[in-house]
Amino acid sequence: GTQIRSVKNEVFFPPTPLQGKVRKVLSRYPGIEEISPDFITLLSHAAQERLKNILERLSVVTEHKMEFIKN
Amino acid sequence: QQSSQSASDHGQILSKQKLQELAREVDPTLQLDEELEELILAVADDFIESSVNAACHLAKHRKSNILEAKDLLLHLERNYNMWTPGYGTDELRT
Repeated sequence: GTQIRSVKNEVFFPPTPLQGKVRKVLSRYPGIEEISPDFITLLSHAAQERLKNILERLSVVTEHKMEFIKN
Repeated sequence: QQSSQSASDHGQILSKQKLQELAREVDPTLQLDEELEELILAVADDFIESSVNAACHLAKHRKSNILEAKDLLLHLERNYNMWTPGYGTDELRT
């Protein structure tokens, strides 16, 4: 196939527990039986991005708090 | 047997150690106390659960029995304005 990713596709979340979590949700949807491997990788990237976003916001809040204490 | 640092011991999908690594990457001065760690991990857990639920709805809507990356991608784009290149479509976006 065509190579579309130029960097190694490393996942942040350990795949086995993540897959277990997805399977647990999937059990509520009887018609869906399979998970594409790309799904788990994308889910890991998205959750990592979400965590990064939260941490960035926390960092800004902490910075403001420190400024307030200094002044 | 897994160590007490393991994520799965606590029903979490990510270890606190990994979270701390990510926090250091974002801001080396950022320190998370235990309560905050638990809270952030719970948010991540919620995010994963709700995203998988939404993707399942979309896969059902496509009348497919396979959960695909494009189902998740659509949810992420619509609700989080998140776009991850290389997923979901057969052709590259230019």
